[in-house]
Amino acid sequence: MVPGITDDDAPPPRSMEEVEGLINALYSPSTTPDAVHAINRVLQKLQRSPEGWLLATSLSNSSNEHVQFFAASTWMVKLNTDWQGLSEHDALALLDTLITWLIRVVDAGFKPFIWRKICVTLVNYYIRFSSLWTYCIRHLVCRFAGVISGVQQDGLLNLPPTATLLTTFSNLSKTVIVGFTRTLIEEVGKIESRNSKGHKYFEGMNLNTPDAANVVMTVLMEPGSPLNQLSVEQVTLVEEALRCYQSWATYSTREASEALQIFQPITRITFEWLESPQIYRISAETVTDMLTNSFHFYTVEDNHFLAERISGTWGQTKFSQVVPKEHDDYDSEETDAFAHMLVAFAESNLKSLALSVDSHTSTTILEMLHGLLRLPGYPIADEEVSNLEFEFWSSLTELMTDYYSKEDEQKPQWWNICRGHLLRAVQEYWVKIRIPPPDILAEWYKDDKDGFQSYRKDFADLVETAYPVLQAELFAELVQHALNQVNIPNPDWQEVESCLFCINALADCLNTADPQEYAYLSALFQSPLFSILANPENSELSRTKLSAISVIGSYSEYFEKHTELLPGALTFLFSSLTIPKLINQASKSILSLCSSCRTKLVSELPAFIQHYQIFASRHPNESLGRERVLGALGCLIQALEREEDKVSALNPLLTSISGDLFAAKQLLSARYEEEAKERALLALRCLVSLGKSLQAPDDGPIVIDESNGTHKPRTIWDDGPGHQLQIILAQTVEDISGTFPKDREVTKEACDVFRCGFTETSPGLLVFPPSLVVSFLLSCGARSMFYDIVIGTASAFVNCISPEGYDECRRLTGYVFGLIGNLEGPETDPELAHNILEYANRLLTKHLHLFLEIQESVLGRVLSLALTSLVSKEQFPKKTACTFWTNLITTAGDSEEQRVMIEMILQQTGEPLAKNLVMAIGGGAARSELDNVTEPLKKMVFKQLHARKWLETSMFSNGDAFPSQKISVEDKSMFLKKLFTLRGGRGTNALVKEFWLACRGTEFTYAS
Amino acid sequence: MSSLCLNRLQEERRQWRKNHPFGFYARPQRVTDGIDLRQWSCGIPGKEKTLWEGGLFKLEMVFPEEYPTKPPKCKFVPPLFHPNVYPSGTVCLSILNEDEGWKPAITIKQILLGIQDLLDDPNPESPAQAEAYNLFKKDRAAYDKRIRALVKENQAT
Repeated sequence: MVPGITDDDAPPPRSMEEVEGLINALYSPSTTPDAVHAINRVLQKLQRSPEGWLLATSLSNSSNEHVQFFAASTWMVKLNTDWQGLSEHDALALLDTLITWLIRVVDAGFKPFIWRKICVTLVNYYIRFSSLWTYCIRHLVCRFAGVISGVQQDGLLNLPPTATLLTTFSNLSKTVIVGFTRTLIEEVGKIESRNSKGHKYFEGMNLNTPDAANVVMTVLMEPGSPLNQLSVEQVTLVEEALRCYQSWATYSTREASEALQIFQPITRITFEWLESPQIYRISAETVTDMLTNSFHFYTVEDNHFLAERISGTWGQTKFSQVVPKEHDDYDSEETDAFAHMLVAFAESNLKSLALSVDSHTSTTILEMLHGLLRLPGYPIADEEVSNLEFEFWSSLTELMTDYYSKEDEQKPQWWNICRGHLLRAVQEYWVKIRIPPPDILAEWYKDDKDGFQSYRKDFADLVETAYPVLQAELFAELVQHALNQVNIPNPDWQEVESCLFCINALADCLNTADPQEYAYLSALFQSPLFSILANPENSELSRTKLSAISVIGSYSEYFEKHTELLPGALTFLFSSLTIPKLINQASKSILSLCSSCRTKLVSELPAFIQHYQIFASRHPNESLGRERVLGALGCLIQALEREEDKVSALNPLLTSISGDLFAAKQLLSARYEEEAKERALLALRCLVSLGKSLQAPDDGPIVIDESNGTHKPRTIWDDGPGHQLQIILAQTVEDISGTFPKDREVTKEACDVFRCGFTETSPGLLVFPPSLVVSFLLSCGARSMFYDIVIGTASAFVNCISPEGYDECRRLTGYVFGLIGNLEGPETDPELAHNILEYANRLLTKHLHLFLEIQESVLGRVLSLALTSLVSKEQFPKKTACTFWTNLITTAGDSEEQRVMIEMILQQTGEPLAKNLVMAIGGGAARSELDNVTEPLKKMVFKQLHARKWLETSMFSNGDAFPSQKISVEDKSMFLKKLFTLRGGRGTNALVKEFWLACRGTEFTYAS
Repeated sequence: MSSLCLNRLQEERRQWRKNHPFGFYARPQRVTDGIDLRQWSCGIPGKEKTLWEGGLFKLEMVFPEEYPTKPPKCKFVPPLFHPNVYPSGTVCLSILNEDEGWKPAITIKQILLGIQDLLDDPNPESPAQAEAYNLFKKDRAAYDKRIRALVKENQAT
């Protein structure tokens, strides 16, 4: 047990020894976490107690480092919580104690974490009592030099200058002074300076800047040449000074302080330190950080000077040391430091580098950038340097296109030279993105693999960005490289793959009708590439195959113009379906080609159907692949001219799907329920995919139906073999759906099969007669509770029916509105309420006469649901009800009779409608619903004569009708006055929002 | 385009290229004569160790003239099955709402990460589409299955 600790309510320690015992136990590795927790509680209590000040003072006299550290923490706690309780006298005494202690700790040679903690405490002291310690750096230097004692700061100016005093210090003392100077600016920099409280710190830092600069400058200048051998202490000191410089420079760039001028002369000295082998890494990091985050701190001359240094003897020697030719012999940290600095310099000086690209400096720097791209090893796994340059090359491209974007414009020399560099960079990267052989890949961690993938994508981005500058030359080169390999006996497939990868990335860049690049593509597609890849024996080429498959899919527009190459490409794609890894991408590309080139491929249909049958028999459960290939076949069938041919082509496909249903039933009888359901779902999804692809394409010819639905010519879909197929299909779907009556997914997919034909204007397999559709929906509705699916499908159906379907529509309407009987209000089943209202909306807007002819009692129930939904808590019924009322108020009607009926409905519902709208805008609705609720209100104000009367009644007459007590009668009157002045115009929404806010009370804000 | 909007978008692009989260992409759309900085095509991967892992979902970001004072509009293309995505594909998220959590300092990276978080952690308080919302509330198993199918259809390659 730890002495002094027994339980949670342990008595406080009785002596300093006990306290020290607790502190030692706290930091001891053998103390259990529970005990650490308990000790912490006791010690924190002590720290916060009024005796905390005294405790810290006496602990600071200990020779134990843990105890000293704890003493500093205690002062930090007290300075943060009780500083206002200190008198000026006590505060000055505290400063003296802290400084004396720091000097003692440094003299005694305690570990750095102690003096650093005391420096932080002193900075915290400055933040609390800045007026008592104005020239804190200078005062601390003088105290360390022993030229003053105590806290008197009046005579500081008369003492020897800081630089002179520092020369007498040990390296450690200097490090402490620099450490304090750095901590000071870092901590003060965290305080917001743009308010009156923060401004005094800004002023305070301005006063201390000359001392800070003096300290840094003296330390950085002192060792003489950076080439001198430094002791360990000197290295620490110079590193501290460089970081200190950076912190002050960053602060001054951000705050535009005095330091901007005073620290700038030190910049060149920091560059000198690049030459010291011992300091190189830290100084390169400093330069990198400055270039990246505080670029404006560097003057034009500084940048020039730095450019000279990087491109001069030092830079070139360093470069040859850190960028080796062989993979084995380099220190990646040394390389990274140089690379980061070089790239940061190139990025921040992009414009001047580009415009003077033929100068020695620019040439050297660009060559170095190329050199980094040739660093041996795979990106991310072996080197993390080449990815740094993506941004530079992208920005360079943008600079080039900003200057000269038009193709025919005469380009200046710099532009052409830069273009050459860009092309080289792309070529260098392109070697980098090669996929490693399997044995190397097997050794990679997941992060390496993910990183490599991401790198390839970033490169694809760069290629796309650079294309407007590089244009067809790049394309030609990519194709040529791929062809060079394809035409030799043992091709380097990794190289082919990387070419295909780039070609794929460029698919969206060719935007003219018949681009030059198509000629190169022809050369590629005519080569033996695909026949080699199609060979099933070359299974190890799956990655190259994958990229080839993507290329075909991406360039479907090309194939539309070069149909002679389509069969070869598709044969390759179908052959890829035999490899499970490739099914996803191959089926995607098959669908893409068949969809774009449908008319050109109809002659291939029988062969493709055969391919599909083989594929489906080998991979019966490959749902997505089968859906896509069926979709592809559907596109070709859609393009057939004769309906008879469509029927014969569809026959084998439907037979294959019936096979799935049969399989599903077998599975079910063997009690594999889940598998059975999956197979049934697959069959339905295949039908949906086929059905969607059979729809007329958007860009196809528009068939104008002049028959007005009465005398359409009969086709084989009405009473021939097509009709027979339809009946079988509808029965199949009904059968599947009935086999899994309580399954939501099956119901949804089954309904989706019917949906496919709703919007079609010409007859076809899935353009079912309305009676079949409605019968299916009613039987679905009878066996399941999936109202959103069934009524949702019914709404979509109603949207598209022609007059011959009106009777069926009446049947459907009777069913849907009959369901209102199941509801006591929208809250009973919000989903059902929402769907019924959605249906009512469709009927109202698309077939007004069918809406108006419903029985009065049924209509009453619909209106009542629409009214109560307005004040319901359920969002979806509420929003749909808003749309319903908006539509009803604005419906014009086709005849006088209809107009009279609508008016009658509105007169009967106007008052309750106004009441519910007022409830909503008076604070009842949620803020996100306000725009919805405002719509019917606007229409009512604009169209209804009685609107004012109804709204006034709701606002004033009945206390219950208005949900807020927060606004006066005058406010309400003013609101109504403004509302009617706006006459339903656009400003209404803002007015309503204001009114709603007032009703909710001004204290209302969003919980964020 | 206002210079504030333009400068900000250029800087966003720069920052994105320099450092972007793994698996995401975001770039201005290509138009006939260059790029349109106010319309970005983005891709959001499903988060690791969630149902959405392995999927990549395409999103378009349209920046209004008043950006960054006003937020961009984010729209999944095609519309996504998700409780907080409107049937049009538009994302409903407080940080994208001018009246709610939008702040001009919010970066494209933060928006995309925010939407990625939303994928697996829908906000039932502000439903945007009935289908996904109701399924999420009523039948979580069926909802999860739908998501798995969605991920399969939208695999990151």
